Amino acid sequence: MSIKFKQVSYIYAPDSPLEKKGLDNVNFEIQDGSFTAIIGHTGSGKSTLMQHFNALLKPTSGQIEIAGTTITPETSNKNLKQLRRHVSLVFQFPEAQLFESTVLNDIAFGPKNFGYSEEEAKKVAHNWLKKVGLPEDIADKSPFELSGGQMRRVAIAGVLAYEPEILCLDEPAAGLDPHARKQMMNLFLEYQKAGHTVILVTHNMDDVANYADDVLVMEHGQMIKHDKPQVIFNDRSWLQQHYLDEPQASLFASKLTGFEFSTPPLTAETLVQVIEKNLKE
Amino acid sequence: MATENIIKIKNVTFTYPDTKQPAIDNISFNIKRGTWTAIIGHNGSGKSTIIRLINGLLVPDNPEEASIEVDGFELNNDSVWDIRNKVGIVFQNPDNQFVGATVADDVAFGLENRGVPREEMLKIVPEAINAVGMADYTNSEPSSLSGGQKQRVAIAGIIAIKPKIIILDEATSMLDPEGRNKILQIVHQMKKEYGLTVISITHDIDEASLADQVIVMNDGKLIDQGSSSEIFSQTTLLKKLGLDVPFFEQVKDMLLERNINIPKTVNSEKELINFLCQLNSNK
Repeated sequence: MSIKFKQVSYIYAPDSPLEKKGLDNVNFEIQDGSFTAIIGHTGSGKSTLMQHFNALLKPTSGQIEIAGTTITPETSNKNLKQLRRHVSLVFQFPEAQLFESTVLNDIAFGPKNFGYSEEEAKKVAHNWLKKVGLPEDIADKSPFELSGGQMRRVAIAGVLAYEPEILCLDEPAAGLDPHARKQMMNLFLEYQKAGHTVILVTHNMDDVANYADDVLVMEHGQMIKHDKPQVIFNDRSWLQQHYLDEPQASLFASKLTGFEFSTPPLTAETLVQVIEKNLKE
Repeated sequence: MATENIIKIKNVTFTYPDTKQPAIDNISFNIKRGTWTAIIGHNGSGKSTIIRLINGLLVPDNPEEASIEVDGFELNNDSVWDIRNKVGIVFQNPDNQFVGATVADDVAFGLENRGVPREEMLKIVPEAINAVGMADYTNSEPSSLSGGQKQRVAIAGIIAIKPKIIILDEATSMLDPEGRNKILQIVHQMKKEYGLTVISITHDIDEASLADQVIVMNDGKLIDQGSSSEIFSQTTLLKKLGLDVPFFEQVKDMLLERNINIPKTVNSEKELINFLCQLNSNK
């Protein structure tokens, strides 16, 4: 089942002096199992959009179909538990939300909340502790004794442990060191490859080029483009017009004069291949 | 007091309680007055611990052999308060460093703490807020500001104290690219205007390459120290330590692997691009 947004608008504080349009007639369809990046400037509506995926915000008008649920302005807050089990939002700096006395209990909290037995929850928690690359001997430690990068992984493990079909992440690797950042991004790629949908809100165009297969571009609450990364980054003048950055590889290529690139290279590997080809021809 | 090295660290070792491995393992280095130094290293390599030792929040294991000197003063129980007046630190999380109800109150906090008379504060506070480009927000609530704006207010609070040294402890890592560039631009301007010495602890390769000198830390040890081009051309070392390599260095390495000869003198993106363009037109 794909995710469908039909004429979705959202207005903050309607009928008040602070009234502000958050989303403005947004229409799109995201395929199952995709790795979709949402890009755009601060204040463009990326986070507002993300909060609609599991009805933390409900549209002021329009309709959303997601994970077997239809969300409209009339949707009541009562029956959203199933939706939230299937669609998980991970906000920036999720480690700020850790609270349990041990790492294992913190990871097991989500699964228990969604009906796993104590025993099952502990089992999946243990499993995900390893899967996110944490040493097993920290299971009984307090999460607050860990380093920032480890805390981040505990928080993410707590979400992955109940295996949501759709995982939405807001800058999940911000503030991590380069090694930890790569590990984290590869974890999400694996999660997608295992048959889930991953939605990534980010400013990092290299992450978009390296991981995403689908891109939504937001500006002033409107979705101004929806396409594959190759297509989005192909149109340099359009990107400049909207003050969007390019991946480092295509930026590098743009500075080379006399070289022929059929399309802008998105990764260092393709950049180097094309440079070599040009030099040998 | 104008010695050439504003910070002198000698033979400092520090171990956190309940750990065996020292977080800082016999480190010595100097920082020249008025320069910009970047300290890089993976999480847990000891970068932030050094900062805490410099302003006396932590005390070395070996006070007899170790010495820390800031702006001509040896750090000890008597000098620690003077030294803290000379060192302003901007921390990573913009939400963890606010005390005032408005931007102006917050900037005034450090001055109040130091007993600065009100008439003087009325002059200093707007000046500091102006310097970081936040004059329009003087009476705003800090909670209504963006992350980048909050960090600018934190910098204003530091500028107001007129420190000699400003330390950015991953101060831009929680910001979006626009916020980050603005902060770095402001710090650069402050450095020029007030002759500040800047130390930035960072993972961001672009931020580190702005520095006059780069210090590389790993597992509590100082691994290397040099100009940014000296450090960032050592791609094998950086990769081994789990650190980022500038993009042009990555490209250079990959071209070398493909037997495209690039002379050792090519040490910047511009030089690499010029070299490749020449190679291509001469083929």
